[in-house]
Amino acid sequence: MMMVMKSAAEAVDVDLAFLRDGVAARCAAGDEYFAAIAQELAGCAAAMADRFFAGATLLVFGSGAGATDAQHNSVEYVHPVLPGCRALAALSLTNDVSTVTGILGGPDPLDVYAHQLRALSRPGDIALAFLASPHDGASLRGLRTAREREMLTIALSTGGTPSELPATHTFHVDHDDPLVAQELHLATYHMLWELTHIVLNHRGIAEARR
Amino acid sequence: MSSTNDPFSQLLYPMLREQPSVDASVITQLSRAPLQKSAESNALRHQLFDASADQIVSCARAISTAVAGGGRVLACGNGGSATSAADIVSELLRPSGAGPAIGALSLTADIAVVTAIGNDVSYDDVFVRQLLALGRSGDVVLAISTSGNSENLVRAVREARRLRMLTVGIAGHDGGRMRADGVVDHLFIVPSTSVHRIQEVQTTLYHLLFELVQQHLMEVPTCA
Repeated sequence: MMMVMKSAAEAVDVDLAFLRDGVAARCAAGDEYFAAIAQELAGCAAAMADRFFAGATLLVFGSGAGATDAQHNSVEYVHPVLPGCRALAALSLTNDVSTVTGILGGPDPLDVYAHQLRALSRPGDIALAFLASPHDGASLRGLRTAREREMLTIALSTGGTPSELPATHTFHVDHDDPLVAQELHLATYHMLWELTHIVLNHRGIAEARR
Repeated sequence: MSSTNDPFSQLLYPMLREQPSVDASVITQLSRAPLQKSAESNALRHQLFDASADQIVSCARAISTAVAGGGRVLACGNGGSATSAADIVSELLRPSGAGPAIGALSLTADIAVVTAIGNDVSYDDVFVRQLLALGRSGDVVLAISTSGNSENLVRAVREARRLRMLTVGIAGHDGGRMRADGVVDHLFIVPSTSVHRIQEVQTTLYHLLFELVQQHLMEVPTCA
């Protein structure tokens, strides 16, 4: 009787090929994506800097992996990694587990972020939402609420075809691997942070010279 | 947002003007940055995987064996690395792909425990104390740091090794204190000084590492 068996060495080769393909997929996707969004990203950072300069708070939200991304994004503003960068106001709407689970278990779970935005935000603030799909009901409603409240609205979306999202700036990653999309979004919000601080420094110097 | 462009709104909320206050030339300059930064991360990805692909595969195999034997993944980190730890824990518990759910805990998830230990003992002990309470021999401890120097992580992995857990470190810069002999069983270093670029490549690393683990756990046992 013949049995097809994968030897240990063959298994390692399969794994190595998987890693090689994974890295190649990320590099190709990153080159294409960042070339496409570079101008939008710079404009978004400039708009964020204007809002921060006027005292805005950034409110970040998203479900699943987007929830940890929201926390990651907000800590960067509150506690900057680079010396000399000023601390900026940011809140993740995924931190308060009592409020989040309370709303998710209540009659209107899709209100989870919108509710917190109504209670915590002020006109002129900034909303940044992660959407695992363009039909992510909770994040969509959060963005619409933010827009009604005259906030700057930013959407980091993936999954499905990009539909018109209720956001001033949309960064849609068109990739079938959600992990790759998440990595590109991580780099996107890192870059928004970096460019926002460059604009803030630039503006700080310009204002001081007046 | 037409309502925000009337003079009254502009007076109350000057930040609501549609045009950014910086010149278009500044925006053009800024728009060159994303591709440069992305290329920097991609070069680091190649550097890391060219140097460490074999070790990543053997680390994945060791984690799979531990998990198949009933071990859980206990992940920890500080700041952005804490969210990375929480991110991979969530991916293991509730996989986005076809992989099996794997028992995993984030050691920063319980704010009562973290602040209790931090307040009563020391922040340096927030992870090691949890390992002593929650960890079992055969578990996997994943410590994520951009510097490799965090005292609370070094204490955690040292104790974890003593308790015969499998220890995996993900660091940046030169690996810091995690690089010392005997601190962790498997160490991966993203050789950069930019915290952002390090985190971007670390995320690729832990995504691919644990995708391999998920694939290993789905393999049908052969007669080999």
